[in-house]
Amino acid sequence: MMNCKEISRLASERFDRELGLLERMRFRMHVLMCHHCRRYARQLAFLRRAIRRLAAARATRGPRLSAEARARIARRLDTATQDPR
Amino acid sequence: MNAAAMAPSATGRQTVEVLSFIDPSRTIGSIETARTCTTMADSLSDPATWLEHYGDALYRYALGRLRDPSRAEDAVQDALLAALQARDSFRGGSTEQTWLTGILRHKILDQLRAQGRAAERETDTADEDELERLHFAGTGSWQQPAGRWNDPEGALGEQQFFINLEHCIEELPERLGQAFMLKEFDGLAGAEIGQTLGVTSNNVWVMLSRARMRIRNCLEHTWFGRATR
Ligand SMILES: [Zn+2]
Repeated sequence: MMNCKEISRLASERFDRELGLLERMRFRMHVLMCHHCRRYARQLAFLRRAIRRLAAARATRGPRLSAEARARIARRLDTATQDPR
Repeated sequence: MNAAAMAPSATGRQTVEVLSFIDPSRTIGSIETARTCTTMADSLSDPATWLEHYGDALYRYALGRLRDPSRAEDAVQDALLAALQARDSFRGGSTEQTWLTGILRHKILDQLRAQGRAAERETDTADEDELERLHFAGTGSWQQPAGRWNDPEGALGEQQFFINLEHCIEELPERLGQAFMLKEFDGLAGAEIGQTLGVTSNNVWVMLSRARMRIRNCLEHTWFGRATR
């Protein structure tokens, strides 16, 4: 019998690796009977969906280079460009 | 400087690829954007324009992985300098942004590897995790179970929710956060993350589980807690 702490681990690991047949059976049986683990597993699945959306959105918006960093990098690149290699 | 080599900047919406972290030539999706920075290139545009066009995107990429603004800025600079050196090797067929991101990715993985070798590994996967200890009794059954969430689907429609979510990710301990980003934002497998961070795959799974548990808990307190209590 796996305890809730172990099941919570499987609720996460099923996103990272293929669970074995026995693990899958134990997981399913457990969440069928245990509403705490069922809720936890459902919330992790929700989290994953939210992260997917965040990852897609983050590609185009979010933090930007500060003006200082931008100027510093520009100066550095400028120096390097003028260096005849 | 050859001004004629500047990328033509079209206006209007266009599609930007979401790059795979494993193989930058592969895309894992695409998004519509109003930005004008991607052009399929046979030759590179003037390096002087790289910073202007791709600086923010490269910075976000670096910040997500390195989690430190000044290190992220340095990584962008290093990558652009390396790109400058390697610009003769650009073969075309991919976008400039893809090419630059690939160079940046290498710089970042090098940094993370160096850091992984230096890090104290036992703290990542110590048997005791404070949040696990809070949630579970010694027997492994819940003593402080996950709370009920009110309308999670509705949260997905709110921009503020995603800002909250980003804060929760930022609050992760450094290496849990790195493992989480490499997995969820870059799609790396456990073995690759393990190699980068200097731990076994098994430890990576433990770290990811703890990262998710923390984010879940953080969301419950900062977002869902408002509605349910
Ligand atoms: Zn349970």
